Amino acid sequence: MAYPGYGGYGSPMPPQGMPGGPMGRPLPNHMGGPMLGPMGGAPPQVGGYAPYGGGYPGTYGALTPAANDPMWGYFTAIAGQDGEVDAMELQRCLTQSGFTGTYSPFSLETCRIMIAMLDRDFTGKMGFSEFKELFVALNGWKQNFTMFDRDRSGTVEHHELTQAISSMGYRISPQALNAIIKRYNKGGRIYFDDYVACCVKLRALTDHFKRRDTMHQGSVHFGYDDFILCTMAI
Amino acid sequence: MISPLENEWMNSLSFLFYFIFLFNPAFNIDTCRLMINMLDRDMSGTMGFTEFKDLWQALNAWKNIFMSFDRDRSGTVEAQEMQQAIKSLGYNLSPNALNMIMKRYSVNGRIPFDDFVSCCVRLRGLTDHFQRRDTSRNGTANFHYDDVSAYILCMHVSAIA
Repeated sequence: MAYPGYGGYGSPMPPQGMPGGPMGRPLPNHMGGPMLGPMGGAPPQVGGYAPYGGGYPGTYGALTPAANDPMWGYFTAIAGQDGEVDAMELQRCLTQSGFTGTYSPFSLETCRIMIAMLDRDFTGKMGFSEFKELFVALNGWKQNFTMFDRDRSGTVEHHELTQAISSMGYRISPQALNAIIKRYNKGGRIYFDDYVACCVKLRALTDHFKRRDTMHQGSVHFGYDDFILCTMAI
Repeated sequence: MISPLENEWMNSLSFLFYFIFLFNPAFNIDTCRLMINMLDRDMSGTMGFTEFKDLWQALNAWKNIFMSFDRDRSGTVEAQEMQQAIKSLGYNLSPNALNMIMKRYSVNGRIPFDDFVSCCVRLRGLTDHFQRRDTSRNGTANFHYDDVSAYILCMHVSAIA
């Protein structure tokens, strides 16, 4: 079919008010599901959830007031007028801080998805607690990568990435993992930026899934709109 | 009737790139790679003629819509206008979803043509994927974690040159 859009998918949206079709269900009830609940506070768990595994935990210990937090100064230095960090500011910060070290700096696209991963209120930007959460995750992923990149080439091999992903607690079939890694490798090796992009997407997608798969079945029944909400952001 | 040589030529990745560059010399090669990714279901790195024809028509539609919003010919549209553009392509999405898309794909409140196309490619591919599962056409479908992970993560285009 040549038509680029999918007109009339589900029920047509009425011009005003609450749409009636399956895709147009009112947001607070169905559309976003648990996404609109208070899930910002719950730390992701490492390895705890059978079908999906973990990722890296956030630091939700005693809450330090922002002003006393050493990362606060760093955050405000890059945040700009609006007090939040956008993709370009994040890229600048990560490049200037030398986080990537000898590896090539993060692409703007990777920075965009880093923000999207934690952007639960869809502002397109990152607040302070999300910023801290990101740094915990990034440090974990970097440690994991450098552990496998023994020759300091800035790249890891296919089988090493397989191990890295499993060691993070993600449970993905060998076939799926194989297909994924094929996409992320360049000339048989995986660069740090692509590796981080992979981790970010995996974590974001897994978060979305976990929140919806309340019966722990390993599958979710998605409405179209919610599916797009989850997948287009990554 | 397509000759074997034409067929081979048309099936090659380089032909797609050539055609896309003709279409718009400023077209980012990453967007071309994304198009191949989204439409290359057998992971061969190539696209068949029918798929290519469909894509070509879609590209034209996206270009026309973009141009209708880019009245000052700046090569960018306002983020808000992107929401209208997506609606006019026929996608039936909630304000929340449209807002997310706008935020995700815009830079400083504007969206360049290339990012707009990248967004449309993803939306088209994801909607295709969803529709294939939604056999009863009621706007819902079941997805297994393993399967969705593979599909979404394979949408990646490396930024490494």
